[in-house]
Amino acid sequence: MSDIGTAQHHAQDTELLVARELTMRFGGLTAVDAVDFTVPAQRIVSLIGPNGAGKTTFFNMLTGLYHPTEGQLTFMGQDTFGRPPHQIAQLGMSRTFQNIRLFREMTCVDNVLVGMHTKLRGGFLATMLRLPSHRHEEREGIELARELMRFVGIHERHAELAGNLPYGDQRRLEIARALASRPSVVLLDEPAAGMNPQETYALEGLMHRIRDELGCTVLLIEHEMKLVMSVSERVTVLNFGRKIAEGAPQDVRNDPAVIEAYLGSSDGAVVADGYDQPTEAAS
Amino acid sequence: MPTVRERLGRHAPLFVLAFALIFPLIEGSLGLGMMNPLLRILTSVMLAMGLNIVVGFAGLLDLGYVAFWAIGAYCVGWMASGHFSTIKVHVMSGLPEAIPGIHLSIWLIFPIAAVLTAVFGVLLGAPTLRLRGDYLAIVTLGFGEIIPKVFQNGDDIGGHNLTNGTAGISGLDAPQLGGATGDAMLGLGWGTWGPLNLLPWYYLAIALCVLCYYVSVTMQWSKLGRAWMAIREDETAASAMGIHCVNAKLWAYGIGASLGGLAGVYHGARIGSIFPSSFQFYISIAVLCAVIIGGMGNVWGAIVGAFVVEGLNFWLLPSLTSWAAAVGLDIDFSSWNMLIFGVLLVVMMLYRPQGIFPSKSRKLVFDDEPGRPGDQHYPGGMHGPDGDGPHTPMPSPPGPGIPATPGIPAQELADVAASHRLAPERVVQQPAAPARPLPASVRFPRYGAGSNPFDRRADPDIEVAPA
Repeated sequence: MSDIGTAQHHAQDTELLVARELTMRFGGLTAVDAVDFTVPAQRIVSLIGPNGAGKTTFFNMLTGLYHPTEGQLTFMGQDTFGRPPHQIAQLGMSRTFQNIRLFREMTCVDNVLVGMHTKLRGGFLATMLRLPSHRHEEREGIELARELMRFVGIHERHAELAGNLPYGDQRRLEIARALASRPSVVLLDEPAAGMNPQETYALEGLMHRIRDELGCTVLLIEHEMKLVMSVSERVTVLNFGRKIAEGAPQDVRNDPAVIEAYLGSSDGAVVADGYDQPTEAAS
Repeated sequence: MPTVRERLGRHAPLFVLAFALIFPLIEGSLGLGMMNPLLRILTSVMLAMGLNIVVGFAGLLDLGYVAFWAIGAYCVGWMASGHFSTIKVHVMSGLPEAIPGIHLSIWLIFPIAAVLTAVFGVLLGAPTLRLRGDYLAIVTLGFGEIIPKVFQNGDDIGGHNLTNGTAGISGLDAPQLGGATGDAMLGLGWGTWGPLNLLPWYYLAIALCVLCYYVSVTMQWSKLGRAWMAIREDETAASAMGIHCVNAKLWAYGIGASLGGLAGVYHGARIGSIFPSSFQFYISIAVLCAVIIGGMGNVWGAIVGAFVVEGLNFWLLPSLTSWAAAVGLDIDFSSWNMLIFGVLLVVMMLYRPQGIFPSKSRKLVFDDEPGRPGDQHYPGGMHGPDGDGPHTPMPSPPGPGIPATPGIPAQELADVAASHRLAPERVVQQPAAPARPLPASVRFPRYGAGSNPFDRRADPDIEVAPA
């Protein structure tokens, strides 16, 4: 898989998402500085970097929550630079949030149904008159929502308010909500944060299934290096808003620039977050 | 199977409606004299349901809702009176053609006013779209003050007398239901509605309340209603889900305003005259309080809240006053309404801030699945050791979690246990969720047609990168 990192150079047409020299400035602060980034179809690619490296800012630019200062952005063959989030979501990009942003006072099923927003017709007249088309759509939407909740493993909790779920299940519900629009790319912003090892393992399996069974590309931001290194097919490292390395996990973890960014010096250690002991099983 | 209680609960609206339909008989035989205040209270019920869409569903705090009530009332003032005396327009009015002014049947005015107030709702909502919270409230408060002022000073707009100023518009047409023929067919007093013949007004109010209820409940569990609630909960996340927040908010303003407009038409026609002084800020607040006390986002909450707040204002306090007078006490309880009202609000906010009927989510009952497991040990909870100290045994998950990739090597599981200093039996591979084929009826055209509707591997718009 080590050639994935270079695939962008010769396989332009298979890239779902292409960012060129994408830059975001907040006043005098350059949070993301001229980053080139591509996302190939049906892969799991990761974006890592120390805290404050600009990863979430980069996600926010891709999904339209931030208007990038400079650069080019193409998604599914369309120019999405500076487009509003709902248009980008309509093209097939969805995301989860670093600090879980579920609709807490709505049930789990309704959360997933909101995720289906772009796929539902919901015409005003059909709704108002409760036409059969509207009733069918609602019923089938609920069925699909349950199917998706089964996929992430929280199908027994459909009637509960999202805010009442335990933390790990909230993360899964957020993923289900993101998948509900049948996206071609799903952006996961630190999905393993706060998860125990067992849940993290399960999450890794879930990401593989998202790629293999749904054919959906996963773009991952994560601090849990073990997860990143085992699940990713390509890793991009940001530091202070700049891309400092990109390539297969093994190459990136031995990159002196990356080691310096994480540890401050080149002492030969693998990328670690201080919580995980480096093990061979991770690679 | 739904329990008896659930079945009763599902049909509760029908029971309430049946009671409302026979209530005039009870009221008449007991001689309660409640009809007049009740009509005013029912007007507020319509207003509360309309405001509930804006405030309760979409979370847009609107302090100027009285504006739409006023616009609705002026609609009937313009379209069913001799106010525009230079022209003669008669549409199904049942009045002699010689009478000057615009005279439309009230049954036409209702839909016209609903559309017109919806347009005004969108126009007034548009400038507030970028505002959230307190700022939004202040701007809507401004609109609530501006509209009645416009009506108050609208007697000379470029030389045209639009609203007749503070004198208002009076002499509104009485609604007709077929005129003399209607009288003959429907019984005395139903063909042409007089101010002393309250029964037709009562049933019209009930019909309008049913309409508002239908609109509210239908919208609540639709694509648009869910979008409103998503915006209320988290606007950023809602936009990331593909919701066009601007459109959804404008729909909320428009539909909420048109319900307020319907209430205005009803009120104007019933009173028979319209004065700008009657559209005060206080009314916006009373309706908002009805929504809050009843429970924001709950349609029944809005209905009950309106009964509580306006029942206090228009029935209980005047009744207390007259009862006190009957025993020789000269106390005007009506002048205490703000005090009682304020105490009620404070008590509510202290002891039941979520309202009488808290916003409830829809209960979906599926035949093929048991209810949720009611136990505490659900997989995925925050159990397990993260910090230091002796580790308590982590309970083995009783049900399926995220199905792990099949076949994590046993060695790898053992490694995880070792690296986290866990007993090996505590790191287990979770069993996959049992497969459940989708019902054959599910044919969602915008999803894939295969066994997995979410599978997009075969989508023509995605080309897979060479591995």
